[in-house]
Amino acid sequence: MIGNDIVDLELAAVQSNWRRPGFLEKVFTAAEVDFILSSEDQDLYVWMLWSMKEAAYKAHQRRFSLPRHLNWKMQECHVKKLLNASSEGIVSIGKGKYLTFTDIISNAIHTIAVEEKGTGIRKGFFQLSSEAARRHFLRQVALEKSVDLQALALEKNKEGVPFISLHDRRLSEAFSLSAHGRFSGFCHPLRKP
Amino acid sequence: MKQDEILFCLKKIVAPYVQNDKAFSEFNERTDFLRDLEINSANLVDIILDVEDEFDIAIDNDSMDRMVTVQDAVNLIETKRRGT
Repeated sequence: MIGNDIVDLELAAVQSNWRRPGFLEKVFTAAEVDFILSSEDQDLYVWMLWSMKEAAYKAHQRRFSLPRHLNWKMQECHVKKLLNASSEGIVSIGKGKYLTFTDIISNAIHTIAVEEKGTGIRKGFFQLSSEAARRHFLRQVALEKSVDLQALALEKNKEGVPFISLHDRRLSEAFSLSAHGRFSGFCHPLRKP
Repeated sequence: MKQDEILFCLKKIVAPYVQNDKAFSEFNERTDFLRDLEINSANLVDIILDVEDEFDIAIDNDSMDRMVTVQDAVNLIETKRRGT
């Protein structure tokens, strides 16, 4: 299963004061706090680790049909590779392990999480409202599956996990959408040949 | 502290983070922080910290785990206050 998360860095800067006492300790392990505070761009790396945790939890939640939990410390991040515009890592949640791939641009961070390497994933993010991004995503699905766009809908199950329905029949849960501020992100597995 | 007093305090704490005003106008025990009020998940951390300050309680990771609805939060606050 897969998950993704997007952070609009300009919005995050006004929406959240992660420097308030207690914030880091509620979300991050001691090693993660060290990683953030010893980095040269704390505002970037705090949200990078955050998006790794959120993306991995979404994949984990879909995999085991879990309700939403608020336990960020359960998700342990290990950054394996750190470049200017991207990073790769592993997030462990209990016995589950997820590989994360993060894209970084000047004002946004997008992370996808997958169970294993090698599966073809289409991913991306753009400067679109969540409404426009949802329409765009459904149009893509309609094209790929050669079905009528009007018959497709995005719904949510009782755990809050979205799924696509075709003529009110459940079609797929293997995708993830996210939105924050001016940005929307998505990922879904490519159809097997 | 009675349930409705806790509810009143909680509503005040949550207010600055709400993104769905219509759902907020119908704020009740069944209101879901993420699904109904569309609160940004990072702001849930702020709400937990605000609740700790306001009610003078400590919320450990296991307790905040299932704080999904207003009722969950009220139950949590009552349990913690009884414990102190």
